[in-house]
Amino acid sequence: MIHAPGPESLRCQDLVIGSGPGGALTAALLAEAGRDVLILEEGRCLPLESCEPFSIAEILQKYRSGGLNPAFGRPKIALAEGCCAGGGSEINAALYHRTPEEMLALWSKRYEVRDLGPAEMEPHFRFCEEALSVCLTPGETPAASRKLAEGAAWLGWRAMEVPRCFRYDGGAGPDGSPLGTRQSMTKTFLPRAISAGARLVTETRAVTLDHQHGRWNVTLARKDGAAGPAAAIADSVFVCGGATETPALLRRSGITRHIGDSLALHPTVKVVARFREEVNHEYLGVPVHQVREFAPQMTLGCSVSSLPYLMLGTADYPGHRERIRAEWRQMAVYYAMIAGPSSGTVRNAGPGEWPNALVRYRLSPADLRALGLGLRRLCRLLFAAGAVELYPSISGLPPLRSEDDLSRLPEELPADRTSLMSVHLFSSCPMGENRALCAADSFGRVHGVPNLFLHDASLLCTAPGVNSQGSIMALARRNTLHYLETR
Amino acid sequence: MPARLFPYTVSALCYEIAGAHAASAGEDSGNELAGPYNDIARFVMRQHRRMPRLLGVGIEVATILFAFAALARHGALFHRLPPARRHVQVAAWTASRLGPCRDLMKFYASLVILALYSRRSLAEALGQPE
Repeated sequence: MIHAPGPESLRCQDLVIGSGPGGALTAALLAEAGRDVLILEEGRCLPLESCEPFSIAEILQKYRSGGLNPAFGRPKIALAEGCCAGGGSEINAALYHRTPEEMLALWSKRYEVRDLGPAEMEPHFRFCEEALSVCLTPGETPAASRKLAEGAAWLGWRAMEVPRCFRYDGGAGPDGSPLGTRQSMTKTFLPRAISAGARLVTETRAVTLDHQHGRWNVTLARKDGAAGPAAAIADSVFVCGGATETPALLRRSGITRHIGDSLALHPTVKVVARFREEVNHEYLGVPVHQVREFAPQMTLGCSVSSLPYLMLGTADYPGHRERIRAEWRQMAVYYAMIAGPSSGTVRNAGPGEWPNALVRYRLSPADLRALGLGLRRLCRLLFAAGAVELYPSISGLPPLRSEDDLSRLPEELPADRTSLMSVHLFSSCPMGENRALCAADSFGRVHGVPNLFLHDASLLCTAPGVNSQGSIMALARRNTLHYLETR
Repeated sequence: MPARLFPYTVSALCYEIAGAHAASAGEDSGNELAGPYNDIARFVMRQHRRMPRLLGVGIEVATILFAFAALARHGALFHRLPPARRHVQVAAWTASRLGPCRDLMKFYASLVILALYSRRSLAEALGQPE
């Protein structure tokens, strides 16, 4: 699967930098259209089965910086990004949403993105859904996940089961849950791209881009100084490194206009809930329910709830450790995630060929209040679902044991005592014809730069308020087809 | 010694944090949470090597300051303190009014917790190439 290059320069028509959902899809469509395609991937090429999902091995193998590159600000926000062939699709929950129509309308109006109506996007969403086997869980969903739906029903809030990019094989796990395979990029579009002739070069990073004499010269570096190609030469370059690495590469290359100035996240606060009955076990599948009553500004959901994550989620409650360890099967991790107006920046930090993307994110008081409101709503819902004890991730707070205790939760999350995280990053190079706001045009071509395209999460104009893989892939297909039609 | 101070301090921190979890779990935790914690320290050092360079240097400097804070307060570098003194030092930094002190303890506690409660698969995970 991997092309093992010598020390020569690599030549291609289309260079795709990054092999996550945007890059893999772009490469497959270009290669299938007969283009000579080279894919550069900074991480290793590992099979999906190389480790247990959401395990410590997965963090070591497939997370960027081992998951230890936070967004700096007050408070800091822990970020998780993939760094391997297939990118984020290899480590995420594979939950699939289409971009909410109100977001498409906002992006069309404010950012002046052309041809972005629901009808125009429909074939692109449908294509992705068929290719990724997007479907609902065919059997019983995890009990911890169903608690969200139960609580929402009590309160009259709208909840839904979110479909996944997953191919079920008809088998069942030890607990009866349906088995199958996550349809990540190493299972879908990367093999398609390679069988259509694309070459994949891994553990190689694009250091800078330089446009000379009508071609792109891309300086490359191998990790730890290993031997490898020094450069790639391409007619067109598609940068698909994700919302932090894409702007970092462009800025290292001297392309800076509206690049890395408007990073958006879904800041997320978590609560561990304990119920009377068992809701968790060793083989608990991916929770699939979300409460969308307050969407897209706010979503409530359930997280991975294995014992290590339960213990992490309750690290602020050392006096309760033994009980949590003993009763972990009655416990699960839940979250409130917001799509607020705060924004951040991406810059480069560190010397040499491997500088790191430095992310800063300023969480506004309004967003801290929104997170406080989200936390209160989540706690209320969990009590309605039968929770007997809640552990919000705020240090210095005692566990909550009834709805009366909700008054102890602060209106605005205290920046110095709250643990926040985000697995969704976007909008660092927004698209659109509004040049006062946008880095790239309506189809991902960087304004004022020839044959340079962005096909990843960085293009999304704002935080979409939903898991973003569907939006990224639909836009990548739309933009790739436009490129093939108009080049 | 100066070059080894960082790994010595990290190792001592891992032993202190993991040991506190094992102590609160009591005997029914079996061998899962029991020492020695060299595997936990290896995991933390490996994660530190993977951090963005500037952030990794920041953690290293803060950890060395932590080690010397023990010297100033208890008369010995952190890794040379007896367990009870180590416990006092970690508790003081965890509850400190200074955000960076709390953040440093949170950083180590998060990594140790993740590794300690993933112990069944930790050895295999650490066997993978970096």
